[in-house]
Amino acid sequence: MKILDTAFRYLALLGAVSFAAAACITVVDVVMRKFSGGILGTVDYVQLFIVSGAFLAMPYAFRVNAHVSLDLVSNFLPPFAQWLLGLATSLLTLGFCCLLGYYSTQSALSMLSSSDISMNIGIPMWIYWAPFALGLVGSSVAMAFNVADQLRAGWNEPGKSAT
Amino acid sequence: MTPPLLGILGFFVAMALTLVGVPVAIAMAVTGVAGFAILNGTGGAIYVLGSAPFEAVFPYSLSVIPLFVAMGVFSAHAGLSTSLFSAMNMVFKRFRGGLAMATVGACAIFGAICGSSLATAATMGRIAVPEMIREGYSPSLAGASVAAAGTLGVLIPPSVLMVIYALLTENSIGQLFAAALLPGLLATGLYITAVAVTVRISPNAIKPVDHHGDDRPETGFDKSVIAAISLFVVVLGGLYSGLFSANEAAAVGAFGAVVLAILMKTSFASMVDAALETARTSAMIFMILVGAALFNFFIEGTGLAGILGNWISESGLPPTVIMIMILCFYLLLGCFMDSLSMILLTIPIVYPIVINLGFDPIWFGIIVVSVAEIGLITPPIGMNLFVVQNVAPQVSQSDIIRGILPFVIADVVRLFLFVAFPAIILFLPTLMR
Amino acid sequence: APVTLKLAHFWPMGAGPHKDFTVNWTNEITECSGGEITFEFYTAGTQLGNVTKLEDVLRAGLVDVAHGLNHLPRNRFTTATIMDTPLLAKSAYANSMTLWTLFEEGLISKPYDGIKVLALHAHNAGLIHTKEKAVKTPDDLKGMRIRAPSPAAAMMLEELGAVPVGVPPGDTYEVISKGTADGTIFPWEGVAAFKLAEILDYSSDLKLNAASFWFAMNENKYNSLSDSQRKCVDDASGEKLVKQTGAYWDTWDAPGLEQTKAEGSEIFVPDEAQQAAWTEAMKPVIAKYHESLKADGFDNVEETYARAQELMAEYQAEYEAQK
Ligand code: NA
Ligand code: NA
Repeated sequence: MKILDTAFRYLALLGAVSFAAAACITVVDVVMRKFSGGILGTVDYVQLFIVSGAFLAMPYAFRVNAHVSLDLVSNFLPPFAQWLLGLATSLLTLGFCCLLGYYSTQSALSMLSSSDISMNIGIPMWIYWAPFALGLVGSSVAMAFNVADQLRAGWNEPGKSAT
Repeated sequence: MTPPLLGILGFFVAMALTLVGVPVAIAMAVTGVAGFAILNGTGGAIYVLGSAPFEAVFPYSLSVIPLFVAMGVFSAHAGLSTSLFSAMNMVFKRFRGGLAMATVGACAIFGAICGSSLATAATMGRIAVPEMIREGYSPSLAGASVAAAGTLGVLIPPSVLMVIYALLTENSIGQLFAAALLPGLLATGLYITAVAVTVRISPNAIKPVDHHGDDRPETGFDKSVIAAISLFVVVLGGLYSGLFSANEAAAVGAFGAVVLAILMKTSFASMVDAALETARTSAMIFMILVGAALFNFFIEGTGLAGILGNWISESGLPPTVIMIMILCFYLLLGCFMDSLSMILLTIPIVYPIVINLGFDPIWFGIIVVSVAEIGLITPPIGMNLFVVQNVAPQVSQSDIIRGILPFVIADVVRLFLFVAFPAIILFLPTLMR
Repeated sequence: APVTLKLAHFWPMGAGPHKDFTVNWTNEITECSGGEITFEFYTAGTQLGNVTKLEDVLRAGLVDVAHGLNHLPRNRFTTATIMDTPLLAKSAYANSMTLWTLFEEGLISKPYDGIKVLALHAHNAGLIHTKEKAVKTPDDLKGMRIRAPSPAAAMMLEELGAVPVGVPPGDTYEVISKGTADGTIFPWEGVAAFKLAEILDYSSDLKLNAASFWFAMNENKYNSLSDSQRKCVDDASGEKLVKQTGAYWDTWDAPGLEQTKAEGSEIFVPDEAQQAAWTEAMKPVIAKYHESLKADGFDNVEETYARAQELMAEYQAEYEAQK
């Protein structure tokens, strides 16, 4: 479990590096076109780095509960009900992540045999889909750990489990 | 059940799921996919599930989001808050309530390089609240002024929320940022006025403290203030003058903020924290965009927007009255919802109606962002209230809520001025066109 | 039985392709079927009207009729982008009829297998519109930053030493007025649609390109219609619709040309010697473009191109005779 958390963290850092790559290539393009042509395919690269960055970071975001969510109702509930509600919302999230992970992986696999390519320099589209699907599958794993944590914490420690 | 009714039901289901604590992205996505399956069958829903999420995050224009997020997060970690606060204090210290006014001023300058309200409130709250409490300010005034001024992070460009509105409605980010400049200054002025009024009518707002001969050094306008303002000028100036596009402005801003953080000798650990925060905030926004796309697939199929639009045009009410009704609806919604989810959930329905009524899309963008931001400081659910309480445990949630009223009034006055004098918003963008 | 067909495309409701093409076609069918067939529209800004997904949502049956671009997403209807070959295009009538005949003869029809194609069409040959500096010879293009409407146009600009700028059409006004780009490639229709006349100084009628479009129906849906309903769809579509669309393009182009004249901008039409210079300069560009089509899996490029040139001459003559 700890190893996976470390892995999620490093994936998120890799995501940040991916954003940095998008920023750098854009800045270089801006500077270069003052003198000559700029970089062909900047748009294609930036799209790749941005999608990859966001989805490599996705499991980490789910694991640290970065997602906007509210706890208006649960504040008024007794601890056991709070715990139960927290568990139910996590299970719903887990279920949906699995669904999304599954169908995105299917689409990504079908991209392997498709002739779709990026607009400007023709990067095969499966290269865009791979980090996207990986991030969603990873998010399902992260949510599964969240659920496991909640189950283990039990309803005596609602604060720890509330999303 | 007819499709439009199903649409309304879906809207309430999504809201209810959000209220019981389901992440907003998941609430919208689950409702959207389920609703779409009811309307079009499971086969269609599976197709949408496999293709729409990727399509929602693929457009090139979305690159502005993580890059503007990075710009704000790295500026926050660069430790600008202390020097911005003391610089503003130099300006306002002669007034009663000067520290709270300085907080507003510092939030405004910080907001000029940070695109998020929460980050602005958190960053300035850490430094300004303890300082104000030390000087005898009531926790109420201290907490409320930071919570309210934090919204300047979004009201003054660059602003992630405006970017999302622009992308959603296919308006120009540059135009929207230009339109936001005067309203942002107006908001700053009104918040300062709100502070002045509060300290005048409420005798308990500031209690005299006796620690004169204090030896705190006065820094005044040091290099970091100049650095912050230069970054703003380069990014926004470059965008307005056409030196670069919105995507490029965001990249230059992110790049500049990282350089700024390095120049300010930010620790390595803090840089890693900033990288992680950028990554998870961006991931969260992208997930919300996925949820919104799935939800919109469903809402679009219900024909709800068309029916509401017809109903409104047949009602024969004057557009201004309808606009006021829409604003009241947003104010109410804002009591319970987060600004980003509120905009994502409602814009697909409200935007076409508003445009058909003849309102300017840029004007409405600023209006809707302003009204959504009020939601950040209205109880029971106001994200900025939570954030301030979080970073400044000396003030409680109820302290802040007690002091927030003057600021909410300032916001409503501002909205009124926007509706009465659209030129406040449209003057600069028309100049740009 | 009554049926409601979902029709998706990427233009705004106010644009010609919706107001004329879509509305007339759907009205004709609704009328012919005695009100049995009605339509629901998904246009610009809707999820189903997303330009890059139109083929997919049509094949998946989420919409019943769709109207999309052949070059977007890239490498789907690659065969039809033979029309993007530099200097091939003439009038919209000739371009559209050439494309349709190539389709009927089976030279470009393979990527459309499984969908019921109702029409193919292409706009009038595009021009280079510029601010400050005119483009009269191939050398003039060197170093200029020009917005490219398609991968084919981007390749052409690059081969001629210009810098292709890849921004969405809606940003054209902004990038030209601020000087981020020196000009754009558009038919006249684009000049009017994006209000470009007021910021442009020169338009060079070089017949550089033509983007093309497909209009099609989900095959299962088409087959599920009754015989009389299917006849209504057939009667409103095919060659008749293709010819009509050629005429539509002329009316959609007219305001752009008028606005440009009203602004007093120079419209440059090359004489024979100047045209020869362009033809010469384009030879390697055309070869390279056809190589790229082959690399993307379009095998009979030469044969198709030769036939396209023949048909183009024939239909252009027909078009000029009609005028
Ligand atoms: Na800001
Ligand atoms: Na609120």
